[in-house]
Amino acid sequence: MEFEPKIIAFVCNWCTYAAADLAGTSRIQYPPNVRIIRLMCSGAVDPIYILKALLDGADGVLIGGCHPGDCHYQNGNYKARRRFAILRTILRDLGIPDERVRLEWISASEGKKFADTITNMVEELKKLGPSPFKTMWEI
Amino acid sequence: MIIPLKDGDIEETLNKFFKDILEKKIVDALFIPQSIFSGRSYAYTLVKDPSKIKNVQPFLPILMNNGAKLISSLTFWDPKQKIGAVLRSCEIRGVIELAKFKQITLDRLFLIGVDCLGTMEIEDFEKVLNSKEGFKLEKFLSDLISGAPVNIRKACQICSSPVPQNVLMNLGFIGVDIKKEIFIHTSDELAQELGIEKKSNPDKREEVLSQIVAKKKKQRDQFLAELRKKFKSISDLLNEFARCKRCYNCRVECPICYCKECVFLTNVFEHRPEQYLKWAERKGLIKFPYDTLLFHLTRLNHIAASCISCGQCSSACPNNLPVFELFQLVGNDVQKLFEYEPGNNIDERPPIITFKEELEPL
Repeated sequence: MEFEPKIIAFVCNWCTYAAADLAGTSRIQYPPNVRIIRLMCSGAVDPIYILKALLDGADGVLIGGCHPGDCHYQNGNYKARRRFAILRTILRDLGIPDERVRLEWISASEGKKFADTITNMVEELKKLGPSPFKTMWEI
Repeated sequence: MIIPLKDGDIEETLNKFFKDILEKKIVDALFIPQSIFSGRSYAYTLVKDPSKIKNVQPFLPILMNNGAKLISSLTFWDPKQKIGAVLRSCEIRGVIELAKFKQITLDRLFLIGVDCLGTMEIEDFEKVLNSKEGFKLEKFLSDLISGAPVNIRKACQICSSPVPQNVLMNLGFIGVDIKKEIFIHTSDELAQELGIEKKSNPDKREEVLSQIVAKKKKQRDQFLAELRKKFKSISDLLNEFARCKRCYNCRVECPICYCKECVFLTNVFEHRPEQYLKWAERKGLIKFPYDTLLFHLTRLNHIAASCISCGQCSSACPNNLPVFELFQLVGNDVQKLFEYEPGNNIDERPPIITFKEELEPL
């Protein structure tokens, strides 16, 4: 059986969540590997959520927020971008490939972009193989 | 400027100096380390009565706490009195960083920095105390300057800021004859008030300092290169961190970890039995206590940009985890990313509490 990656997506209520909705109502096909968790803003994504998902065996994590300048709360996505930069530096130092955690700006009208992002992410993760955390009990 | 030693006794001279500071009302209270009467141990003291200054030990090579955290409890609310605090370089960096996080108000603080070339782990200090020769401050300090092998903490071995910045007064032993004098740097008015003769700085100080700093910087680069080899993958990290017993000592001792209510102390991490069993079922087995790596990685996310490299985390760890090493390695990269030097410039905001609208490094 082919390896099917599991992606946890933390998405903003005002943009990426609506984009996922749009992808559905527009009947755009994309792989069913993603589990969406809706938050009020990408700025509400604490790095602990991403880490917990990764350590408990998610193959990939996606954070979806509004394009810079478009945040419903003025600057939540700028804060998310900072936190993401710090998290990525940490993950790189520990040898976790960039493909496993992604930050994407997907607006409410970009249903197609949401579907493409998931499709692309699933492809990349299939190439990478299952997350090593899946079997590591020592964490 | 220098203060000549009274009868060649460094401790007596320092006692008199700090007594003067209190008596002349340069500060209303003094926060200073003093040794316990037996001389076996020391603690920070907050002194109001000048006659209680008996055993000040600003140069004693042990660091029980990072003083920044203690200063926070003194200045989080306005103390309404001027407090003089005698601290080392890493503690001053902690004070500056905590001030940026609004945990310390600098308005009533009179920071007095002391030269520091390293502190020892308590066990190592005990060993020296119990040895035949006992502990001799002058010998210890001159060994540190000459580079003789001294068993100091890892964080101190690679610390390249022996002299604190952002202070109103500096006391030191680097580049002077410790048997005769102590170095002091302060404003002319204060020097006059304290009766310190205005003399030019000892010429050797800058030279000795730059040599020491260059050497320590080299040691730091070497240390980082070794760490990069050591922590190449997550399994390398787990080799060391799997023995974490989640005592949270590192969190308690870290001066930057200031949250009054840490998420790890809330019931978010009190899982139901069926939850543990579900996790165990998924992986076949899980380690207890659970969520230890999550704890360290989360702390890393919160602290890395502001880590002031005091090494108290590792000193506090009962299981000898390389917490300091991990934070040093990752902190260095995160700080480089934002071109940020924690504890240095009070006007610079820590990366984690600010943002830019233009494109940022990713």
